[in-house]
Amino acid sequence: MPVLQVKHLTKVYGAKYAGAVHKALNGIDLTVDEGEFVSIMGPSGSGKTTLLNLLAGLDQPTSGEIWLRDQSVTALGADQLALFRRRHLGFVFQDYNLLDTLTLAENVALPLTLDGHKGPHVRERVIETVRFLGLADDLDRYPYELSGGQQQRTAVARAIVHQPDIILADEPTGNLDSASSQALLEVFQRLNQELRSTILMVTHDPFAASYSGRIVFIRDGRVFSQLDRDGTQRREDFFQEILSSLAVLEGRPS
Amino acid sequence: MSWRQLILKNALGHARRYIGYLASSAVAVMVFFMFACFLYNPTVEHSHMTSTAQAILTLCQYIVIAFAVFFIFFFHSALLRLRGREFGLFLVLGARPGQIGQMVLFESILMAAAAMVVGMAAGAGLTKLFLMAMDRLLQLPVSIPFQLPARALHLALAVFGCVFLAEALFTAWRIRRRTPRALMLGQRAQQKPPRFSWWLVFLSLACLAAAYDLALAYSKAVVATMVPILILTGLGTYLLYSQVSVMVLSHLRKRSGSGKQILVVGRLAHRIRDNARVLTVVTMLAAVVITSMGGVFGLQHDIQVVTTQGDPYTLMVAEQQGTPLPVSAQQARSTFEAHHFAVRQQTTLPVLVLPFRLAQSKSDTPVYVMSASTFERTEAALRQSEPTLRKYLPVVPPPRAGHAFLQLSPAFIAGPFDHATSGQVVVPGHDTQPIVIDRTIHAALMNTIRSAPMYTLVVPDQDYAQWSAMAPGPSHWTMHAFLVSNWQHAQSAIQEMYAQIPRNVRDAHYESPVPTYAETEQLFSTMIFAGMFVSVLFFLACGSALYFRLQAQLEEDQRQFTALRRIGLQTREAKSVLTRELLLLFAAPVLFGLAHSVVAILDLTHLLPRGVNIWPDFGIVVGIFAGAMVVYLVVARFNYLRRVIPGLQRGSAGA
Repeated sequence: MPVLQVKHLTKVYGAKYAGAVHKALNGIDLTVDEGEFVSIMGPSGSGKTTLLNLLAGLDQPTSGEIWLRDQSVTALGADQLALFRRRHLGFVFQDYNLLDTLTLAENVALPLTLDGHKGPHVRERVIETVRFLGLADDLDRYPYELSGGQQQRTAVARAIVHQPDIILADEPTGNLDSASSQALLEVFQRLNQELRSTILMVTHDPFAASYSGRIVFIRDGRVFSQLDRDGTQRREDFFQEILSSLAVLEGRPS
Repeated sequence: MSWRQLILKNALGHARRYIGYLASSAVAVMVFFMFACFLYNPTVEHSHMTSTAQAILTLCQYIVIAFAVFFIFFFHSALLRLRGREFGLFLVLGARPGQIGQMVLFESILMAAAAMVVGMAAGAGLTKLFLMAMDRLLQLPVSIPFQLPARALHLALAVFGCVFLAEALFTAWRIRRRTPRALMLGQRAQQKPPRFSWWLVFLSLACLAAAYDLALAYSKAVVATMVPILILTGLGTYLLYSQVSVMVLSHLRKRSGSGKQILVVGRLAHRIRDNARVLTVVTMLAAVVITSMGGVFGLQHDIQVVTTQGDPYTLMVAEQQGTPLPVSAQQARSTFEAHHFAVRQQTTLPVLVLPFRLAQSKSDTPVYVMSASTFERTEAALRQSEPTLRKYLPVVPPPRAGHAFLQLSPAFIAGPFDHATSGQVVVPGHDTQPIVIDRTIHAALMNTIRSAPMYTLVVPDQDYAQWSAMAPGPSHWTMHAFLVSNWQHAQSAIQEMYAQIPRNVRDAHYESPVPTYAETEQLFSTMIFAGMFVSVLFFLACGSALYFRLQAQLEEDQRQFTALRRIGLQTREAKSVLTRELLLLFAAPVLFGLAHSVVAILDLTHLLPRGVNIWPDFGIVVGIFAGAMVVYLVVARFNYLRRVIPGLQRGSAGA
C-alpha cells in the first residue's frame, strides 16, 4: 500500500520575473510503499532538495500532486499543512538543527508538545525513543555537549518520537565522520526493519544509499532510473551496483 | 514538559543575545520615568521652575520616546532575523505560523515587562538623586521632596506599554506572514557581491558637501536648513558606507598586498556594505551626542563671559533729562545694599541721544553720542574692575576732530553699521554734522537697553561739547552704571526694583543681565543634566547596535576562521585580522560622527558672539565619547576573538 504518491510534480523558479526561468523539477513521478526505505540520488542541482521541500509542504509546486495516504498535500492551507507536518512527517537535516537552548530530551519532545501533548507521558515516550537510539544516558545534556553523531541521533529521535507516516532525511550523513555515518545508517536500517518505518532519504553518498532497499536516480528534474535491491543481495554488492548506475547517470564510462 | 514551557525555556536561553537590547530599552524607560517623576512632582508643578527648563525636560521626554520607538522596532526585528533558522525549524516540525507569531508576541511581552520593571525600578532609585541634583542646579528656594507621582507611573506605563505592545503585535504579524521557505533558506541565500556605482559614490559626496555647505554658509538660516541638512547628512553617510567604502576597498584589492591584507580588505568590503545601515545610525547618534553635549558644555562655560560682554554692568539706569524715573539711581543703590550686595563701582556717563544718518541712507537711526574722554574714563574703570573683559576691550587713541568710532555690542552678529565709513549726526534745529567713521569697535561699554539705541558714536571732546550745547534738554541722558559683587545672585534685588517699574519704562530705561543670566544658567544646567541621560541612552544604543552586528556575523565568522585555520592561518594572524576589522567597525562611525559634529560646531560658532570659544569643552566631550567607545571596543574584541578563533575557545563546542 503506497504511503506517498507523487504525480507529475513540476517546480519552476523565477517564473514571476523576466529573465532566467529554472525548472528545478520537470514532471516527477514517485511512489513509496509502506515500510520502504528509499534513497533519492542525483548530481547537484538535479532537484533533490526541491523535491524534499515540496514533500514537506515547505514550498508550493508549480503543478502536479502529492498524496500522503489519502491526503492531498498540495490542497492544504498553511495551518493545515502545519498540522499535517506535525502528525505525519518526521524530518532529519544535514546540520541537525537542534536548539542549543534545550536539552536532548526537550529537543526530542518538541513535536509531541507542539501537538498539545503534556505531562509525564511525554517524557515516557521520549525516554522510550531515546533508548532505542542508544542515547538514554544523555537525556539532560545540551546539544553542544554531544558529539556530531549523538546530535544527529537526537535529531532522528525527534523525527520519530511522534510515530510519523514517513521520515524525510536530507543528506543526514553529510556532516558526519564515517564511523558516525555508519552508526546512523544502521539506526535507519533498524527503524525500517524493526519498527517498519517508511524512510525517504536524499543523499549523494553511494555508501549511505546502499543501506536502503530502493534507489531512485533523478537528473534534470525527472526520474532517470531506479535500482531495487533484491531480498538476498549483500549490501556490498548493492553498493557496487549503485556505483555503476551513478556512472551511467553522470555520463561517465564505467 | 509542554510546548509553553519549552518555548519559555528557549526564550530565556536567548537572553544573552538580548542583553544589549534589553539594557537599552530599560535605560529608555528609566530616563523617561525619571523625567516624568520630576515634572509631575507637585512641588515642581506648582511653581518654582522656569517654563524653559520644563520645556527642555518635556522635549527630552519626546526624544526618548522617539528613540524608543525607533530602537525597539529596528533592533528587535534585526534580532529576530538572527533566529530565522530556529523559526524555520519550528515550522518544519509542524508549528502553525500563528503559533510562531504567538511565541514572538509572548517573548516580546516578556521582554517589555522586564525592561519596564527594571527601568522603572532603576528610575525610582535614581529619582532621589535626580531631584537633589535638580535642586542645586535650579537653585530653588525650597527643596523638592522625594515622591513617585502616580501620574508619572501611569504615563510611563501607558507610553511604553503602547510602544512595546505595538511593536510586539507588528513583529508577530510580520513573522507570521513570512513563508517557511524564506525562513529556512534565509540564512545563506542573501549574500550579494559588493559592488558600487560611480553615480552613487558621487551622490554620496555631493550630499555631504551640500550638507556641510548649507551648514557653514547659511548659519543664520539654521531653522530652515536644519531638516535638509539632517536628511542630506544621513543619506550621504549611508552611501558613504554602502558605496564609497566599497569603491575604496575595491581599489585597495587591486593592489597586491600581503595575504592578511587581502583577507582584511575582502572581508571588510562585505562587512561594511552589510552593516551600512547600522553604521549610519551609529554615526548619526554619535554626531548628535558629541555635538549637543560639546555645544552645551562649551556654551555653559562661556555664559558669564557672553553675558558680561553684552551687558557689562549689573544694572544700568538710563535717565533722560526732564523725565523722572520710578526707581532712581540712588534708590537702586540702596536696594542693592538692602539685599547685602556691595556696590563695587558706580559710574555716571553723560551721553547725548541723537539721530544719525549713514552715508547713502535716507533714514535716521538714534545713536548714543559719547565724548572721547568719557569713553576713555569708562573703559579704564571697566578694565580695572572686570579683568575678564580686558581682552575684549580694545584701547584706541581718541578720534581727531570730525572723526568718530562706532561702537556696538559684540552680541550683534551683523548689520548695516558694520562697515559704515561716514555719516551725519542730526542735531535737532541745527545743521547736520558730517563725520568720518574711523573704525568699528565690537565691545559693549554700556548695557544694551531694549528700546534704546544700539550704537554709540565716540566723538572728540570738542565736538561733543559743541553738540551738547546745541541739543535740546531731552537729548541729554545720564547713564548710571552699577557693578556689584557676586552679581550672579543679585536676582532678588533686581526683582524688587523691577516690580516697581512698568514694563515699557523698564525696556527704555533699565537693563540688568542678572535675570537673563540666571535663566540661561538654569537652562543650561537642565540641558546638561537631561542631556547627560539622553546621551548615555544614545551611547548604549550605539554600543548595542554594534554588539548586535557582531552577534549576527558570529556564526559565519566561526565557520570562516575554522576553515582558515585549516589552511594554516595562525592564531596571531587571525587575531590581527579581526582586531583591524573591529577597530574599523568602531572607529569609522566615531570619526565620521566627529567630522559631522565639527561642522555643526563651526556652524554654531557663526551664531555666537565673538570671543566665545567652545572648542576646549567640545574636545573634552569628544575625548569622553571616544574613550567610552574604546572601552566598548576592548571588551568586544576580547569576547569576540575568544568565540571566533578556534584556538582561543574555552570549552569545545563539539565536532
